[in-house]
Amino acid sequence: MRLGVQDAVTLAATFSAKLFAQDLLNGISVGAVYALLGLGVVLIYKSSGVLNFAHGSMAMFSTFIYFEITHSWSGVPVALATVMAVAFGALLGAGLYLIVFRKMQDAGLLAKVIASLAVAGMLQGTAAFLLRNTSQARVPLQFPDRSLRISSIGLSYQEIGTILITIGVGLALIQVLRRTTFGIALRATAQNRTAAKMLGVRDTRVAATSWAIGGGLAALAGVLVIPLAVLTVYSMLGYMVRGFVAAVVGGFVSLSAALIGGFGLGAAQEGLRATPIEHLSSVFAGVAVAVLLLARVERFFALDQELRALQELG
Amino acid sequence: MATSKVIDRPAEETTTTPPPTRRRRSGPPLVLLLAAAGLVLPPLVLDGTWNAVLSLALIYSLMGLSVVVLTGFVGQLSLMPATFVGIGAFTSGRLVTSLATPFWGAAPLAAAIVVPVALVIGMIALRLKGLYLAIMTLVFADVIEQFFFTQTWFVGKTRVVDAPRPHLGGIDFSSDKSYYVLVYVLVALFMLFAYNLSRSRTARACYAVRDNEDAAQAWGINAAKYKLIAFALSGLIAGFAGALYGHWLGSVPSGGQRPLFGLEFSLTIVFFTIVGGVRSIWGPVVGATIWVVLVRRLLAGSPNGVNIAISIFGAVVLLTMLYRPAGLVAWVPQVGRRVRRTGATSVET
Repeated sequence: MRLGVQDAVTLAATFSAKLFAQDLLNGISVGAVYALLGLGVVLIYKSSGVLNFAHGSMAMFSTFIYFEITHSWSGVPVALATVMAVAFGALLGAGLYLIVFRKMQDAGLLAKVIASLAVAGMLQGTAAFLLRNTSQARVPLQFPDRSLRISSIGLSYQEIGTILITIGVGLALIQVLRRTTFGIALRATAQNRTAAKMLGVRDTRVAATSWAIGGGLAALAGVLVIPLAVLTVYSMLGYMVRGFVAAVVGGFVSLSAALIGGFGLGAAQEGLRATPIEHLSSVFAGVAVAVLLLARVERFFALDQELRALQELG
Repeated sequence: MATSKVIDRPAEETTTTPPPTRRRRSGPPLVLLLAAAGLVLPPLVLDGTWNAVLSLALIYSLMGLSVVVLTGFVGQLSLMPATFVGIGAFTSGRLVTSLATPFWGAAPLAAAIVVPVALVIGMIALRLKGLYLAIMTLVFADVIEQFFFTQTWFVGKTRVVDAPRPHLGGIDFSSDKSYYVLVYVLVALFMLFAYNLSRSRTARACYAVRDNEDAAQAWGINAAKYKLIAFALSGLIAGFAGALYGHWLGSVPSGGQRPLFGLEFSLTIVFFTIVGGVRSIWGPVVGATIWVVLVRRLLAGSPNGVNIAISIFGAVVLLTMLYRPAGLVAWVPQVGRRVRRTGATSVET
């Protein structure tokens, strides 16, 4: 893994724009997954103040359901199985909120973090136990197994589909938050829970809906990306951490920043692979999050009231 | 710092009352008797496997103690205790096998190497509050895994670090029974230190920072100083536990799909500490013993023992957080009273 001077010289010589463009495109499709996860993390944090460390496990569990549906009931079309997996993810999210996190509404931040870690542990352990006989399961694609090629740069339909779905879902969600009653109620809850409640916002319902959307998005991210990889209990954890990084870009309040952050992180991280400093790609997310956090990047994306609410929570 | 010492005093008087001395006088003989029994009985009565399991429980207790010092004392949550443990384990093993350092030098040195790493995290923690710190440590654990634990200069060409059991003069600690005795003595020393620490002026300042940082600052307590002390101590304890763990294993594997010192191990340490009680130094002892006996004995026959145990512990952690945040030790009347007196009725930060 470590590069000598000789390797660096050869790498610099072999740097090609085509390779770079290809990696960048792949990065954008991976970034879509980070963005989907980041959107859910932000939504859940806004509505209930929980930094959901179980997000990756929720995605993994829903993907496992998708795999089971396509695997055991061969008659079910892939599209229906995808919808069922997303619905399962939404139910899982809402269920977790109603059973566990609603009771912790007034608990401290640390208590909520630990509770979400505990949920993650439960989901991971249960999935590992259920998956014990299927090692590295192959999961069917939602889109045709071909790729679109322009000159020598190509992208598979699965990746294109992931990017388009993410952009569509992300923009739709931003509009929902801007225009619908639910969106206004959610933003009110995020800014001042007590005042929102006094004005008639049903905060439990708002939070449960947000958890459902978050869980559905996590499931969507899982079923879209895992067909290109292999399904193991651990395969969503790395994506989750990078989804957090996307959420950090918007200071856990801004959906649009999380969307852009996810795509940006994916592009930057994969783009690095084609450059001479290739070995930095694997730790790019770490360096990025350190810089983002220490520079308090949320200042640029969050409204004043939201920041104040954030400080009260944290 | 002369002024801060003067202003320190009122805060400590409001947080605790001096322990009743009358009860303590009758205490030590019983405690000493129990301690001696713990040292002598297992090697005499139990077989080698049980001794190995119990020494592992003690080593895990030490890992949990590093969480207590950080989360229980100053209320900082780190998701990388296993990373500190890993640095300790790899360093001690490499020092013994590659540089021919005796265990007695290698283990303390390995623990000392973790301290600056922990201090770097601590300095970041001064700037970042709870939520962001948790994310930061999660990411840092990954960075250290990538930049150290998978690199040949750190873990050797074979990527497996040998860590033989130590010997002292003619005494050989390679058998499970003798290693238990060694681990017991070393862990007992750490517990004694932690016990004294938990009743010291430093710890009381830490509790004040944990319960209300702004109020503590207003009383003249230097919150940054106590946070850094806690991080350094936590790193030291975790590093030493790592060294003991490495030599318990015999050879320390690195890398792989499911790295040994990854998030899963960190979660395990945090989980059993919380189940036992994160604000008492005895919490990790209780939690670690239950965890190790569950995984290594009760579920040892099942290939999915660890997965089942993690699910169970996840559920128990949830129940603990919801209904009994002070953990299992709160059931013990004397400890429970103590935990309550230091304000440890819940994990709020």
